[in-house]
Amino acid sequence: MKYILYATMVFSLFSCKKEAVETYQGKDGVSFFAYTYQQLHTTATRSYSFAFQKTVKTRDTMYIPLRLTGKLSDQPRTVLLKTAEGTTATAGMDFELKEVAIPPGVSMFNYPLVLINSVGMASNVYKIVLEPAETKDFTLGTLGQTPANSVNQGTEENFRYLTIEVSSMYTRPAYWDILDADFGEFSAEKYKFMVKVLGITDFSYENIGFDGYLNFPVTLRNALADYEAANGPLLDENGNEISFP
Amino acid sequence: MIAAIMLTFACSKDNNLSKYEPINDIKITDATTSFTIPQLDSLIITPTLTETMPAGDSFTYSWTMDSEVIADSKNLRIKVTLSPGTYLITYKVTSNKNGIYALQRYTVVVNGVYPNGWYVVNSKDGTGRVSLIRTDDVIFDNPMEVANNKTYPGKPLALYNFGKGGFFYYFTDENVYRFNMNDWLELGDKSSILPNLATPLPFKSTPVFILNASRFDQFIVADGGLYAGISGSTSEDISPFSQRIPGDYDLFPGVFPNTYNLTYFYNNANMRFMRMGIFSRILEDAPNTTGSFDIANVGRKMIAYDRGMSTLFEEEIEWYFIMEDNNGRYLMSLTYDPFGNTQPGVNQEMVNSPEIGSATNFATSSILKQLYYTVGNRVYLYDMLAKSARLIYTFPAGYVIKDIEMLRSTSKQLVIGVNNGAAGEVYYFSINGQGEFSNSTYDKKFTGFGEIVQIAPARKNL
Repeated sequence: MKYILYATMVFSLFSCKKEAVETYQGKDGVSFFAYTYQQLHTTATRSYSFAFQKTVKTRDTMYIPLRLTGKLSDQPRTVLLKTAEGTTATAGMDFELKEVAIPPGVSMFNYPLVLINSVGMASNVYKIVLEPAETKDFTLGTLGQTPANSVNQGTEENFRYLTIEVSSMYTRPAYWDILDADFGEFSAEKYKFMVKVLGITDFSYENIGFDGYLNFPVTLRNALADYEAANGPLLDENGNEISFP
Repeated sequence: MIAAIMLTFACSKDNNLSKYEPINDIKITDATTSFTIPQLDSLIITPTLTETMPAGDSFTYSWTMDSEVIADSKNLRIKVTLSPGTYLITYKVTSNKNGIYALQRYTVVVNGVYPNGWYVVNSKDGTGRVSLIRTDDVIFDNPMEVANNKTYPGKPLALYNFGKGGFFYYFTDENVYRFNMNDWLELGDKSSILPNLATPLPFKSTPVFILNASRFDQFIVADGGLYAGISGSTSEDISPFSQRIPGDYDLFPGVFPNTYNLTYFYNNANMRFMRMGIFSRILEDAPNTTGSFDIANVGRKMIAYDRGMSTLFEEEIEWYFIMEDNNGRYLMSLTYDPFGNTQPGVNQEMVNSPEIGSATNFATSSILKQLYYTVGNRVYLYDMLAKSARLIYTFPAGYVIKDIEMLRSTSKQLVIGVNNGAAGEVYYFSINGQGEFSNSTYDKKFTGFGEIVQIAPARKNL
């Protein structure tokens, strides 16, 4: 009995060994990032117009959120975007894509896309379809959805293609859909009047908030009444009288 | 292996040397374990300790709140700098001799320094101030100057509670302020409350303020114009007001939240009601009504208002109005049906009512069909069912009643602010079952105020 016990003890001492944990090996990735509700991974586009800026600009920078996948690095790394099929804008003339260094330790990064106010934009809306390009540090990152949790602001998407529309025309911005009810139909002249009265150029809900959404039409109706008292009706580019409902 | 070790060491010999020895047992025997104190006051707790064997033992004490030790003395004596709320404090007494300890938990309710009572807006030596008569009858002469260590110049116009707790608005003829109602620290002025106005402040006449019934919109009516803002879900999450809502109107200074969705206003220019829906910024004429009167065609000038009944959570509120035409004065009301729709209520000429034509202050009961009105130094009680009024109280000659307010939560206390020249006094009257003043006189009297402009209940919407 005693010998069996001692034998068991000896076997016990050598029965287990530590197994090495396999970790992910491979090149780190980069993808576009947006919340699912923004629909930028499917149908929605980001739009920019040089007409909607407070001052006349020859160039401007649009920041594009990227998410890195893989390991964090304590060294700066470079990231690059390239154009994909469907692009109608011309690189170097309408926009510039450059390799950009991202700081060490970050997992999210805003890529600066330089837009150039070209002659063609006065009468065209150009499309720039972007995708991440292979660099020495990154390949295309993991794609797909991250579910909503207590930290983020809803389900998130990592995706491959992002479409941007750029021009210098007064095109109706996509965000106007939710302004229709309280600000009325979009027109270039109405937009210019709003910029003059309110002193801002971005009327998206994210920028003006619920109080701006309710209070700004009041300010605009008052300003329009003052304008009309002095000058008569304010007409838009199609000859229609501008009003705020 | 474990089994083997256990088998090897399983038994040991017990020498059986333990013997029983009584030890000192400590108990905390306090009758009071719950304390309510105002913020910034001292909290003093002196526990009673009993020991079974008092001699020869010493103790270590600790007072902890949220796992943080706040004191290590036998008795607790601290200045309370906590925000208003309920807190638990644990007291632990440990014997240094044998480590035995006793625990006691105390509940501490911290109120704001100025928790409740009545605001008295008054003017002393030409400068506005707000005094407070706290519920324990302690008077604070000018807390906003004390709390903020600065003066608030200008003639006082009005004060209104926000209605969701947190703060109140104070209007002067120079500015508009928000003050935290707990500590009276200033939270903002016209630059954040009413920015970008087409016609800059100040308001020339006394403004009014109230939230809508669902408490998501806030309204100011001043100088005939309406200003609206969203109120957010908490008092911290508050947005500025709009510019004057455009339109050709001249509102009576009153806002009447009637249903969850609809808030009413009265256009004295064409003598009809107007209304605004929740989150709308369009002031529209109210549509026609059938019944006791047509709210779209009243044809009388509004003189005063006060509130009547309301549903439990105040989604629906009844409002009484004093109206006037060439023939006299009328009591009218806007009420609600069981489905939460607006309905015209009473419409009666105020006959058999002495001096009603020159009455300046009105307060309605929310439980009896009665209202109080004042002329000069006289208080009258008007009975809506009997359609007649009688004199129930007269202040000394030379006194002029400036404001009367019903304690809305009970409708059993009428508070009256009276001016004797430039000296203001406040009186509390208890109301008996018949609506008259108990013992035909006042309960309490407070003096020493400047010239009174307004009386407002602390912490209540109206």
